[in-house]
Amino acid sequence: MIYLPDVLAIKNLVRFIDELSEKSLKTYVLMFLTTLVLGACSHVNHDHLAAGASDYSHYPAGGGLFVTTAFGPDGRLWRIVPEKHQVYVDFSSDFGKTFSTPVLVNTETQQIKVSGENRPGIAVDRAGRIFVIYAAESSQPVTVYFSVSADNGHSFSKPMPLSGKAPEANSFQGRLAVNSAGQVYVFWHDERNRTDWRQAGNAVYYTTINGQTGLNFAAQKLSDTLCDCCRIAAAFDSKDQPVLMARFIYPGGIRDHGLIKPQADNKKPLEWRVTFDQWTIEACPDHGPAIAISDELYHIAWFTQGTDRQGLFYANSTDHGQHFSVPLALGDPRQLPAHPDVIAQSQTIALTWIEFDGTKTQLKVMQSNNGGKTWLASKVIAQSNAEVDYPFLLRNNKDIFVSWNTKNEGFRLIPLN
Amino acid sequence: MNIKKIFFSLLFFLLTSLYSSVKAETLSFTSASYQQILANTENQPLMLVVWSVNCSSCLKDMALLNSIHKSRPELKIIMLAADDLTATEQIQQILEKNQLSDIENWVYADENTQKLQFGIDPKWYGELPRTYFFDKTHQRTGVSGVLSKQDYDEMFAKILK
Repeated sequence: MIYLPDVLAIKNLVRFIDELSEKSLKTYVLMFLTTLVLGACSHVNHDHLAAGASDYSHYPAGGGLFVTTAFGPDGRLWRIVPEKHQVYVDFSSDFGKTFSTPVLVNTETQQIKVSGENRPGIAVDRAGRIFVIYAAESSQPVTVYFSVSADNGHSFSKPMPLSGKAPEANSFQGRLAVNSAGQVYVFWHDERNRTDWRQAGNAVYYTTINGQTGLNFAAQKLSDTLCDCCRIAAAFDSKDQPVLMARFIYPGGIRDHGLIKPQADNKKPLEWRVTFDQWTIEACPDHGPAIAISDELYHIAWFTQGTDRQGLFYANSTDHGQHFSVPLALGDPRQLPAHPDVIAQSQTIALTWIEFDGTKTQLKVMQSNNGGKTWLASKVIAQSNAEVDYPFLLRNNKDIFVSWNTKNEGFRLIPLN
Repeated sequence: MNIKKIFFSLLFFLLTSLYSSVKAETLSFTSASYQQILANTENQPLMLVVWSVNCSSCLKDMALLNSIHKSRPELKIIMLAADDLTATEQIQQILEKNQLSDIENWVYADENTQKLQFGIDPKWYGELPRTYFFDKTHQRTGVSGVLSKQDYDEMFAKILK
């Protein structure tokens, strides 16, 4: 299969070659084109796909490191797996031990863009519709695409850019989140407002998606001056409204964190600073924060190298994020504790992060049973000697799990208790 | 000019830009490379700049690096891209655009970038740009983030004395 624009381009090129008089040149160029066409066709032979274990050996190009998972309403664990040119979705009915036959999301080959911060996303609503986002090259270096499956993951809609300005401006680091009512939100970094590159930071835009018609409204701007190399975190408050946490660039070039709350009736979103580490730096930390909300308590975790504080920290708030507790340092500072996630299930709060000692990466967790007032000792629950992805916390209707993907060991879903 | 002429002049341009003689090849940075760089620059001050094609702050830094390179041709500068081998072409383009393509430059060539990073500096979290200033005894100072001309000059005063 070839893209339609490619077919047109090839037709034009053939016409151009016809104008060349040398027959030999014509032959060479046609041979070259034939190679290209055959090369493009070879990418989309998916007859060999089958179900497999957690190690990606059944994937055409060996799977990918940066995957995202989410539980569906029927208890299945859904997963989005980006490879270099293709994005797949599969599911596990046995908590990550085995996975179904991968289903291709983008039937037209793309250059997939993925990293620890620029992650794919997956969410399943109450009706079992599966929503996915991922970033790929388009006419711009990077564009966030979305696709929906309304048939239990048997097929996916043609991926479309989230941003109406995708042909003009980069969009990346999408964050997909579904609230308890089943409303699917997506937030992302958007460069459409950047006219002067010396100006600090990016804008964050958002929209909501439904299973039938796609986007509910054209992208709306939420905020400005986000640090452009840190992904956005999102949670829902007690009224089911989204609350975002992001690294901002505050006056003086301080890269600390703030919360953003969209408001109803086109009112200006609320936004305020919540971490005060004074990290004055013009750099790409590639280190996004985490947020969770339950029982009116806000829980946040973040990384900083500020003058006032360095390392990984947790704090909570009893007044809807207006004030936070004294930051609690996480992990062993000699082992580069990094990439935290936090989850809240009533009064049970869990944190996870990774540490690296020079040869191996350890996956650590820490738990509180009283809303974050006191914490049990942290413990190592897994490790790896090769490349690792960030760990993520997720829950089904009963338990909390850590989802962790590593190059040597493959995918692991580790129950907390 | 007819189409054929345009075609061949484009081809000529492409070939000459590919085989330009002043351009330094992008070298593969593996776990042994950091020590190799130090051995190759023994008794010599050095500035090692770690950057990435995806790091917007790093790209802001390039113009100043270009002017430093021009005004201090005696200073050994090494650029290390914290990307992977697939980014080699983009690395070359960016260096060329900023007239830095004659500088010794490397790219991460091991998938476990955290190990490479740790091998350079066990206290570094990987934020970019990261610049290391070595004096001639290879005592080093590591600084994260974009530097001003004044920052550079202060560091050069230390390492070049």
